[in-house]
Amino acid sequence: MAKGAYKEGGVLHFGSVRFRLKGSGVLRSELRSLDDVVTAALPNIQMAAATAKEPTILSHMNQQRAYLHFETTDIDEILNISKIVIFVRPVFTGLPTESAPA
Amino acid sequence: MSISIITSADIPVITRTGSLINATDTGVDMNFDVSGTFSVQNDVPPVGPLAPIDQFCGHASGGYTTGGDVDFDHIITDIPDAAQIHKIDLSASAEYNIQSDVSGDISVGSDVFDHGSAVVSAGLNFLIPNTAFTPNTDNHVSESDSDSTGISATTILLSASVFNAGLLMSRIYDIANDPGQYPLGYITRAQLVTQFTTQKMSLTSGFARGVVSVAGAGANFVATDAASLLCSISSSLWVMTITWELPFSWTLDTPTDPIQAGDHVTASSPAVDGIDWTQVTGVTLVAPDGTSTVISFTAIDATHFIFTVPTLVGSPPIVNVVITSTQFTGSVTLGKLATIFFLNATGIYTLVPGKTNDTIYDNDDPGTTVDVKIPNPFGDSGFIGG
Repeated sequence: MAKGAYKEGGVLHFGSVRFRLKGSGVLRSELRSLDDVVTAALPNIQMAAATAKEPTILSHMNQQRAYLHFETTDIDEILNISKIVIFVRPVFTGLPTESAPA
Repeated sequence: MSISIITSADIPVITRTGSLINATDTGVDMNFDVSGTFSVQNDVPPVGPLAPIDQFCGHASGGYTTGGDVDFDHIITDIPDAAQIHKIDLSASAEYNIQSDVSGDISVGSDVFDHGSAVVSAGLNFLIPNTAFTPNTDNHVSESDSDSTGISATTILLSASVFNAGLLMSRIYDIANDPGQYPLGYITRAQLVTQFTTQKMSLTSGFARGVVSVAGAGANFVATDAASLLCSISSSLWVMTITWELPFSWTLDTPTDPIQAGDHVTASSPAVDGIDWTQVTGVTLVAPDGTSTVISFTAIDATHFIFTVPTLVGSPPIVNVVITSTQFTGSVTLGKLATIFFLNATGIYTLVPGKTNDTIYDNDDPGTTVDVKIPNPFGDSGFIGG
């Protein structure tokens, strides 16, 4: 297993996400794979109008490619995100056809 | 949406209570002359100190009864059969006329005949000789007047002195507030006919008295003719005021729920005396903020008319049907149209700084708006990985 080296088509482990986030209400987020076939809900973040913290929420998903989706779902919720850091790490160089993940 | 009828009238005086129409009908003046002549002779001492001639006319107490027919037909024919009669107010005025006629010779010594007077006071009473219909408000004299005039005389003839007393009387049958034998608080027109038109109205004098007295210090008075009083009682301006209510209603035939612009709404009324569409002069849509719009309507038959719900904008309307009539006034709530659907309700999406929701028209409560959430604001990152 080639740690630390990433090659195109390799599998990444999505380990956590960090936000610079202000607002009110609850931020709901999840990681989604290609075509949204696999999703991994992330812990909700209670937003505040002002905060000294940039919360990091843990995740666990292995995918070749994924993206972060976030939203609010209640009335009068406000979100203001100025920075997003997604922590990933290569774990596999590729996926054989037979064992391709769903 | 609700509909009410507003009516107005010229005659007679009419009021309205709740969902009922009050009407007061006043009959024509009914002249009701009751007259009588009563004379009393007194023996007068021929000599000696003058004894008062104390004549009276009628009875000092107990009264007497006389009367005649009173025609209530005019009133009753104006009252619909369905009317509920709550109050009957009888009133009349009366006048007593007393004429004294006292004559005699004075045997003049050193004394001087110096004074004569006559006084009349009276009270009147109504009498309806049907004891089954007992008024709960008795008669009263609302005004009385008496006249007392001295007759200065140095002659030996006293005559033709006329004194009057005027009276106003009323008797109220307040069935609504004191129903008595009519627990519903009203009587029907048929009962009114039974109680009144078959009976005679009578006039009873509870106290009617005329007095003539002659007094003189030391005078010697010899009556040459019988002293007498001529009394007559006349009454007039008999008025019967009947307050009645007529159950009155219109019904809205709602085509569908919700109502949409262009729907035809029919208002119908049961066949009640004098109630028909001709008394409807307009249909008005009145919004909660007081603004109103007059729309047209079309008569179908005597008890049906139809109007079309126009395109509705803004606040939900309340429909008032305006009615004029020569019989009644007031307003009656017609009914309630079910939910009005704002078929063409539109708006312009306006961005408002700091606003955290969307404001839209509320179809469940037409004419109002409601704040709703902006549908799940979201963000997506780009794909991580290659």
